[in-house]
Amino acid sequence: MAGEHRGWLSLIAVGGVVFIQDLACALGKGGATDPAVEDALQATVSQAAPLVIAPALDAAATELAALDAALATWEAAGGADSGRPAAQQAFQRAMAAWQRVELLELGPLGSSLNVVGGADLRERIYSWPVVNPCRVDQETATGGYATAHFMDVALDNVRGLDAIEHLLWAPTGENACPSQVDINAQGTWDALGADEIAARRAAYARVAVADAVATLDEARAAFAEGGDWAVALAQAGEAGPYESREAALNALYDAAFYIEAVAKDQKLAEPMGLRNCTTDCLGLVESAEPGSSHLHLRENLAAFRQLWVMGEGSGFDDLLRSLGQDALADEVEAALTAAEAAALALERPVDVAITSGDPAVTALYEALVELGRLWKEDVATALVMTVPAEAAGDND
Amino acid sequence: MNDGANDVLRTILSSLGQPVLDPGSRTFWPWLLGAALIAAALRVWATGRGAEGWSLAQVRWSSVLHAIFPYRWLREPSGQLDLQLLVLRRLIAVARAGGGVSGAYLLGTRLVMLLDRTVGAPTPPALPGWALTLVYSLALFLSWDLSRFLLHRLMHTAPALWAFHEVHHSATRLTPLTFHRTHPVESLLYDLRGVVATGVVAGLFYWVFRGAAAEHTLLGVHSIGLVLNALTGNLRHSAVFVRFPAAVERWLLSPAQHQLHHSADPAHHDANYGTWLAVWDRAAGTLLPSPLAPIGRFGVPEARHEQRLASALLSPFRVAAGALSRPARAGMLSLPVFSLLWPDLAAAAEGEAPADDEADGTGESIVVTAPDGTPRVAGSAHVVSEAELERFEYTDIHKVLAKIPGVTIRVEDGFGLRPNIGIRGVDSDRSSKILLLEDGLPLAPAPYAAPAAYYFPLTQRIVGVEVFKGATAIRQGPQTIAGAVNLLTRPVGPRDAAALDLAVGPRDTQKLHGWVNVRAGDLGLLLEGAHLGTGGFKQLDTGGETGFSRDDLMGKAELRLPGLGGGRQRAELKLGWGQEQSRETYLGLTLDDFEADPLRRYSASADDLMQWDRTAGSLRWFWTHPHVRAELSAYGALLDRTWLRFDGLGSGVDVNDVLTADLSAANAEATRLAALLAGEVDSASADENIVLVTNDRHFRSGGVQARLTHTAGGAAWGSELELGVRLHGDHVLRDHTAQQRPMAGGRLQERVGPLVQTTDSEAMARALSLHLAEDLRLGPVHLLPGLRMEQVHTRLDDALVDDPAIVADTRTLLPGAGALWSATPWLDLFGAAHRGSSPVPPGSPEGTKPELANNYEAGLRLSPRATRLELVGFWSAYDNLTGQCTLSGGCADAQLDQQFNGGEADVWGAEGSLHQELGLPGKWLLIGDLAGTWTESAFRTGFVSALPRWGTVEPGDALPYLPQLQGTAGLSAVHPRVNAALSATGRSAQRDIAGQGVIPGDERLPGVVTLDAALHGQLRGPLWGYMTVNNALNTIVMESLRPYGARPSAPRQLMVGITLNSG
Repeated sequence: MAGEHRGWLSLIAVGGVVFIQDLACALGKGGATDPAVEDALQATVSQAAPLVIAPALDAAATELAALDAALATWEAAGGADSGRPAAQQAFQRAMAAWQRVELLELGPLGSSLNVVGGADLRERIYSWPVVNPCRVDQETATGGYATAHFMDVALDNVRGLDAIEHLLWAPTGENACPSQVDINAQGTWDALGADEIAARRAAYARVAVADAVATLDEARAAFAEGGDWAVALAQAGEAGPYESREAALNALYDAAFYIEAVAKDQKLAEPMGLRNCTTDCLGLVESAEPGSSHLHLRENLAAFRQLWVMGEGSGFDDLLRSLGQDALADEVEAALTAAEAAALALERPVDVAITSGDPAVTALYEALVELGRLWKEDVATALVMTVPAEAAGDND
Repeated sequence: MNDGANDVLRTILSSLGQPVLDPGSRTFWPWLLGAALIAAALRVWATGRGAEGWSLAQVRWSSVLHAIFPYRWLREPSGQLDLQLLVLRRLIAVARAGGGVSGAYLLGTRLVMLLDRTVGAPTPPALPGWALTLVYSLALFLSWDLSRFLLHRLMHTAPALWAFHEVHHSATRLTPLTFHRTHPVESLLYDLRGVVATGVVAGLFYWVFRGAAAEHTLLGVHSIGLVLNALTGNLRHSAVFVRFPAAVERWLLSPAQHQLHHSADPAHHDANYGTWLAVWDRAAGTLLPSPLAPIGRFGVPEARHEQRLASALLSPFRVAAGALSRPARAGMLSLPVFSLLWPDLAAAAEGEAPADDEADGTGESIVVTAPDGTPRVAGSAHVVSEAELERFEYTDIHKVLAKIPGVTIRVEDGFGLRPNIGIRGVDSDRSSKILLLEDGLPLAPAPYAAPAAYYFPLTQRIVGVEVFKGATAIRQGPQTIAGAVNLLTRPVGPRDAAALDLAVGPRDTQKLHGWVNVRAGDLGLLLEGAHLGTGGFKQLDTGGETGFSRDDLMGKAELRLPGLGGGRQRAELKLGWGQEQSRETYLGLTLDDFEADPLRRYSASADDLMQWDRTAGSLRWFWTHPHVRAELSAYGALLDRTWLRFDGLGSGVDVNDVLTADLSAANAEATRLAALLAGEVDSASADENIVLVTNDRHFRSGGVQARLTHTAGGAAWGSELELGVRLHGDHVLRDHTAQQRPMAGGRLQERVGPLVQTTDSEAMARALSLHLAEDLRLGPVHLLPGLRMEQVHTRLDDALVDDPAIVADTRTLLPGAGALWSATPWLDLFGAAHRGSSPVPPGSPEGTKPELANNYEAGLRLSPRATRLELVGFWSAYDNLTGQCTLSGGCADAQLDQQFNGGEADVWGAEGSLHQELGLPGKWLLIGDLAGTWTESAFRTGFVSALPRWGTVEPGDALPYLPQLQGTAGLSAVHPRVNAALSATGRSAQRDIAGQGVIPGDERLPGVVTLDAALHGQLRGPLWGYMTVNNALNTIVMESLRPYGARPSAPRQLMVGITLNSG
């Protein structure tokens, strides 16, 4: 008899050891999680900084440095019109690189109001659609930009790339303010003369780009290898501001939502008069003066793809597949590919395309509608939905 | 021991510990402790009060412990089996760990996405957080508890399932461990139940509340279940007898009520199936109050397994197989013989009551049959039974339909994946001019907006095919000129049954098909799955597969409802899902290359891939009264498909011209381009890049239909009046893009240049259909007048053009009349005339008219005992013959699904069939079948059409892809233990383009005769083996020249398989 029971007794004894070891663990968990999903989640979150965010910030930094050099040349020329085209071209390159960062508003880049760790760095570098060309002209006229600590107190709409864009493209000698504003009402602007205004605009642009570079360096330090936010993403759920990997993934998901909330709605739907606008809607187009609004959308989509596939790493697509959502991953990929194709087919600035009735702008909008729908509905469902654990019941 | 081994051991041990460590487990250690304390309290109450008052000294503590955990019992076989099954379940859990995400999650997310797309995301109702948590928690609890009750009851009432559940009930003493004493099959079924019960509720709540709903949990587990588990769960399986007050037991099941369910007295087995709530048992009439005294004996007195692990695991399979096969044994000999063509006769021969559908006459079958099974309509109708389908084990619907006179098929891919079926001369392209039905409901992805049949069910799971032609089409629509093909799926059977069919063949061809039918009282369930896959018979220049993989799943639930107004009623829910991945291409070969090797496939098609998945469902209600029959059905289907495929060259040159050119002449350009497609030369410019398109289409279709039939009369006369109404909507979204891929080194290279949107359109149709049909019987004469009305609204939005949406509204009235004279019991003479129509799809060119034709037919039908002969002459006089554009027909992207006018035309001919049986000594039966069709056609006007297969038409030109002669001859020898069948099918040459006189060589698709053979033999009991050979002579001919060059028929295909069929 003893021999018959030996196997059982052994199992019970070993089970007792496991009992003690796993007790605390079991009390804290409602059910098992699929290891493949865990791995994909960890990979998606931890690879975001090294594979996508840091490279995008570095690329933007390189172009901002080139812009700084071009602006220096322009400033040395006293803001002469002859020096402006080179600076404008450098600005276009910098803006193109920045448009890829636009979809990475997480951590310090994000808003301090609603993003974990948000420090508004993005707003300090580029605050569109919150822009105020008149305010920039006022600072130009009063020379406020040249005062000590100007950038410490300056509002977002008089600094950064949006301010530089105005300084580079504003018609010589003209300002964007109505007549009742002091610089016009009191004759300050006219008293400066066209040459002085040009010189001040170049000098102002240098100050602004220096501030942008410094702000960008803050962001780069945060997401570089060993940086606070690179570590925060890599160790999400273990240490740092993200209480779980899901929270970190949520931050990345929200950042990519830019494609719906900004790219589709603000950059296309509003100028097209499809939402929140009934008159003078074309004035809402981004970078109307440089005429690069359509190029920005291409860069936004390129950035979305980087987040989707996480560069060369494991991205949202792999995460969805690990969740058994292969069909959805294929759908998003197809919608993204279609949107990219539609963006390529839009060969004119958004305002020009709308005015001329170019169907490409509608096609791009509809492609983004589909991509956005998938992102905010199906992808959200796949990532967010959980199913409850059932208390064991009889199968008797 | 290394780390890996340690991990495995640790995983196993953790799993073994789970039953007592997981708060979600019934036997979580605190709950066991609580149960012990309750047992102790009860014992103290019962035994601790002596004459001197309360005294714990009087309590027998050992009996307290033993009541909750009878440790001595573990030494006995039943207790050992409890533990062994527990360990086995945990080991299985380890083996399944990491096998993927939760099924409930996948089901739930899929449901949400489906609802989002079809209904839209609703605005979440404003509910306080606590109220939402309460509602959600209750809904989950009710879903779980109800689903457990239903499955538990099914486990008891379905003999095949009881074989497995008996393992649990054979425990002769109840302990908390008995909870884990379940057969792995039962555990699997309960897991599946959990997937559905959780996934549906979680999905619905997520959809409505967008993730705001969360259930209340304790220790990570649903609170209600956890509390109930903690309080009384372990007492249910124990010797502790706890009753609730009678009023409570009407709502909550007490442990004593469950112990009664485990009583050794079988009379108690059909009671108290619930887990927690008693309301389900009350509703089902199976609630019993707890007895006054503890149950004396537990277990199953005549358990069919021993208290040993091996016996408990294996015996249920044997018992279940016996339960499944038992009803079939008596009919096994006669079934194959009599049900070949006349299923009703077979049923009668076995003394079976006909299935409800047949008895009701309101089921999914459409063809009206006489008591002997002969179609009894004023027109031609044919029924192919399941037995006949199984005789050749066909997987290609073309093979089945080729045997029916009047039906024209155009082979395209060799597998019948996307059939081209025509009847009596109507255009066969993508079967868009005939009506396709499954169980009497529309089958095409979008029958009005885009009638091309890109979906067709796997032939294995079709149990019958009805083809009806002529005036009977009035009752169906919208395509009413030629007729309809109604595919019958397996009905929910009256008893437990199952079948399995496995077959393999060369070229990695495999076929798998199985179904299970269970019946528990008024509820019947059927689950059926089919898979078909092959590596393909074409040889790519670059190597690689050219075949496909297809799966079809179908589930049906039938519920017989209580009688209503003196009639019987039943409801049926049907759900289906299918998917396909096929490396299909439209690219064929040059005529020279076809001559050299017809099975070759050019490199330019190496990346071609078609993928789709389809989800469909229907909910139907039938009511049968002696004088009235009613049917109400709601149905819907979603089909998403994408097809990456070759579409031409960068220069836009007509590839079909290149491939059909005479390359022996000095045509250097065509020769070079053909070589380019074959990968023999590289692309030298953008003009020579290969163009691939990705044709995404999303179809939605759905509607409701109702039919009401009233019968009256007596021996001298009779009337059957049918009124039908259908509200249908369908929709197709086309999203087509094109890309250019250079050919280099014999292979397609990566894309160059942008993706170009070629089609971005949305078409929809809404249709209201009404029909009224009368069958007035005056002695031996039937008069059959009918009228159909179709009102259709269509709309096409093309995002690539500035033009506004194309909107059209049409209303068509289609009268018809027929007469049938039953001159003798075995001779019917009939004639009929009707007006038929095919609607105009959305976006067709301005001026396109519906296809309209006056159709006439007359014939006779002889049906003496062992013979059936039918001869019919037909004539369709088209006011306007139309052609539908598809890519397979050679149309350009911009012409897709447009309809073209062909003006007046006539199609006439005759069709006949003969079926003869001859009894032979030794239980042998010889069955012969002959069928043939002669068809002539002529356009009456001359015109130039943009439809490629029409081209320049002269008056008198014959229709393309319509053979003048076609026929089939079959001979079967049937014996109770073996049957052999031989069938020859042939057709004359047909035209690739409309014309008259001798068919020019480059427009001629040659005639062909193919020979199929099949041999079935009984191996043992219900186990049969079979071998089939399709195209035994390996005759390979050119079946199509469109859209891009010559494509072959399928070569010889051998399959060897087994079937296990319980009946």
